Amino acid sequence: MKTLGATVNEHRTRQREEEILLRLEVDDFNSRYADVLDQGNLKEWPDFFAPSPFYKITSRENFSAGFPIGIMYCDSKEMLIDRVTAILSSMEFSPRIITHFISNHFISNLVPSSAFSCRSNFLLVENMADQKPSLLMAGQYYDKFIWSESKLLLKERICVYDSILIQTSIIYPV
Amino acid sequence: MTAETAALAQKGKVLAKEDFKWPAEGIYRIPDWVYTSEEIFQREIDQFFRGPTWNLVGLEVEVPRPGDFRRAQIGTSSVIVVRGKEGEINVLENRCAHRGTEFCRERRGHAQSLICPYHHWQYDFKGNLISVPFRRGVKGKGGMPEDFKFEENGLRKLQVARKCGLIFGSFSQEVEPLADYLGAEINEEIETTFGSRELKVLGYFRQRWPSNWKLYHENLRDPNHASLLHVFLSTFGLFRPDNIVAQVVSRCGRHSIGYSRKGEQKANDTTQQLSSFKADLALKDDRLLQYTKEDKGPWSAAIQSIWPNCAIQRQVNALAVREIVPKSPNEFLLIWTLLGFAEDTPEMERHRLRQANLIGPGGLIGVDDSEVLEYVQDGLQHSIPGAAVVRLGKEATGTTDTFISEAAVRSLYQYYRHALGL
Repeated sequence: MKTLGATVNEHRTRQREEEILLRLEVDDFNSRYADVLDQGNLKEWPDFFAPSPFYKITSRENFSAGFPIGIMYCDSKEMLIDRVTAILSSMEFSPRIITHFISNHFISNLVPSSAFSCRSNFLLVENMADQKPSLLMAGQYYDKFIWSESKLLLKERICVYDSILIQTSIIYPV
Repeated sequence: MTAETAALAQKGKVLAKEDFKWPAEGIYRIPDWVYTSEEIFQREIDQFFRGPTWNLVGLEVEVPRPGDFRRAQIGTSSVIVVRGKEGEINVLENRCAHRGTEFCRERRGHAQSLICPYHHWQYDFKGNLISVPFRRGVKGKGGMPEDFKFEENGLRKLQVARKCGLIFGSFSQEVEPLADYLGAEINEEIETTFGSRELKVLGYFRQRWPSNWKLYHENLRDPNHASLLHVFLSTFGLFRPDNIVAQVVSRCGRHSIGYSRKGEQKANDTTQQLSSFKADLALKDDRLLQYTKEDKGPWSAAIQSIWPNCAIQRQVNALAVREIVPKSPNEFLLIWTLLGFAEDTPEMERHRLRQANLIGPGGLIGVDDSEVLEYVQDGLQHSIPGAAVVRLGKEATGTTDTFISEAAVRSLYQYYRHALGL
């Protein structure tokens, strides 16, 4: 017969395994998300979001003070699609290549097989013609994920950048 | 050397950067050196930002209680906007009278008094020096001389004026009253935009532009670019030459307002000439374009360019004030304060937040401007010196009721040349 201690340890191990598996899921999700943006397959970007999602890019200053404004502020999936349409067909900007680095996932508010929150770090490097590579943005994602038919989707992604000054323009989603 | 390069070299010589000789064509030309010369930049800081002008330094709603402060910049100078004990607003230079320390480091906050961390010189909210540690020395040694006068060692106090919740400051003692400085048109438009409604800050954008600060004012006064560069604006009828429009210029030439009434996305004779018009471009969520009328006036967009550091924008229901902070001939910062009103319903506030997608550093329209002004500055900085051509429109200067004109840009430079003696 197992001791109580052994049962608790087993439970902890299982919990830990689940958490690590979930982190791997998030890591896989973010790798695919970053790849779509970095490879310029913008039209696939809205597919990472759940129906009626919320997406916002804002500064740490606004986020900490509770100011609701966003540099991009989309409260419908249609707005995400419109943003992509505008980038591809109406906005004027210098060509650039942006690379995402996403790491340090912290999962919370876990509702098994339904939903959870996650906070991750992001770093965006921008490369433009005739210029040195530059750090476009560093900050954190505040995410709400849901499971939909064994697939992860973003119900909410708030991108909070710590770099205070925007260097000229933010063209692509973060 | 070909004849062409010789001509270019000759042109470069005539318009050599430190020559400051305005082209013979007068108001129809703007020489590159007004955008690239360090010396001209310094003259602008002295004459405009530290001279007899009014500069936007914040909003009353940002400093509601005594002791509340926010920092601002007038030209290259840092200032503190602080609400005093009697509810008055003071604008003080952020420079300790002792050693010149730019001592206030926070963007905004609340303070009991203003203390420089270096040697603890302490000031009240009016900028008066109220204490200096060890003034009488220790054990009879050291200390300030008997004749040291506190009243002569306060912070520099700026002139302050308010209008519809906006706070303006001036380094000049001789500056004319704010209402006269702004003129009838700007006063009226500020009243139309804000009236007596209490403002609500929705947040800030802080953006670095690698271009000359005047290019920004010009961009706001050059309505012709709006329908050509901004595909989004022209396609969806927010700003197009066939709209009912006006580019108003103040009597002095230094301020301007671009007005437009929203049109439709339908092809006509004008749109045929606009390669930027895309009849097949469609929005899936057109709440972005819906205009909820807020005032009695006829305009759905009004963009005010107020010399030297301020722009006020209402574009459909997106409201913002912008502070222009010049850093060098080739760089300025743009500080956006996005606004709504305290009386807004939650749905109206969300509508404004949604429409803020149009403007700012990630704006569907805004990006076009920050990008293109960089292209302009690159051209001015790196090529053989030349001069811009500003010939568009029948009227030489002043107000026009067409967007196919550069009269408002010419008006600005008429004022500018006079003010700088160029």
